Amino acid sequence: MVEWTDFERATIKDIFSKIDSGVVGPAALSRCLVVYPWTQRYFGKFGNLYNAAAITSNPNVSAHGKVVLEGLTLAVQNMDDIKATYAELSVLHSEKLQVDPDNFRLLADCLTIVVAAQMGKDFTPEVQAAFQKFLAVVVSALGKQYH
Amino acid sequence: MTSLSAKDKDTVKTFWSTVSGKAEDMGADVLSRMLVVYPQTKTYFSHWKDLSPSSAQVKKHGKTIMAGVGEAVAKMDDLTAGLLNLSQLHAFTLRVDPANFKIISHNLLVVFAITFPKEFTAEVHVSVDKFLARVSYALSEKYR
Repeated sequence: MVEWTDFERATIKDIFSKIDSGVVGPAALSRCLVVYPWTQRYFGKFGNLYNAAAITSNPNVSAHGKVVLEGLTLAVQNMDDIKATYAELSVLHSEKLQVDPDNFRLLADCLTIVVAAQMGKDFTPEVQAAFQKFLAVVVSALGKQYH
Repeated sequence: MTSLSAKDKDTVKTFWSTVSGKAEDMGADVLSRMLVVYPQTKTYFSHWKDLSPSSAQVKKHGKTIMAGVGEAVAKMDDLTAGLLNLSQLHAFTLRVDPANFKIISHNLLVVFAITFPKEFTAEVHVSVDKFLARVSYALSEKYR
């Protein structure tokens, strides 16, 4: 089981209480599709992903970014058992969506950058460490059911 | 993946000219972040007394690192030749495991995003990420 310090728990809850999932989710997903264009392979049905402008203004990307971020709040609410909480989502991503789990790490990196940009100086090294630890646990849990 | 298009080079040069004024502060931030978020990197600095962000050694070394990045920007058209000395330094003297180049690159991106949120768009991000990957590769050339 993952051990969280009081600081880490407080930091994660604080970050997620402050960010707007309708803004951060779409920003992170669209950034991922731009910075790591091969991730677009999963979004063939989304329409125009031809360039950065198209990706950022694509309503399907925005909607899905919001879904992804809302999925993350599930982990925030269940920090003591993210693995079990995400068992179903892991099966979904492996069996139905067939996403290479390495892509979770790429999206997590983009989310870190977006949250950093939003929080500015408040995204201290200690906050960054807590946030990245949280995302690493999420990424690991999402990959658990792959076989 | 790591070949830079003309557009990438242009984007990086333009971004660097915008941000280089704050290079020193950013360098200290990059380094102290790395030491906190990736504690295994502290193993390379066991000879420093103070690893906190306010430490004179951290600030000085952050400045050195950013100067290296600036040098890479200037020598972007032939990084292998341009960073030869730095590669030799990292390979034979410092013997930094090249896996750490990815770590410091990530922290550079985080600090760019924090310090210049408006300018560090997704398009700038991808070009800078590619550039840093290319720099890391050039720095690893002399390892073996």
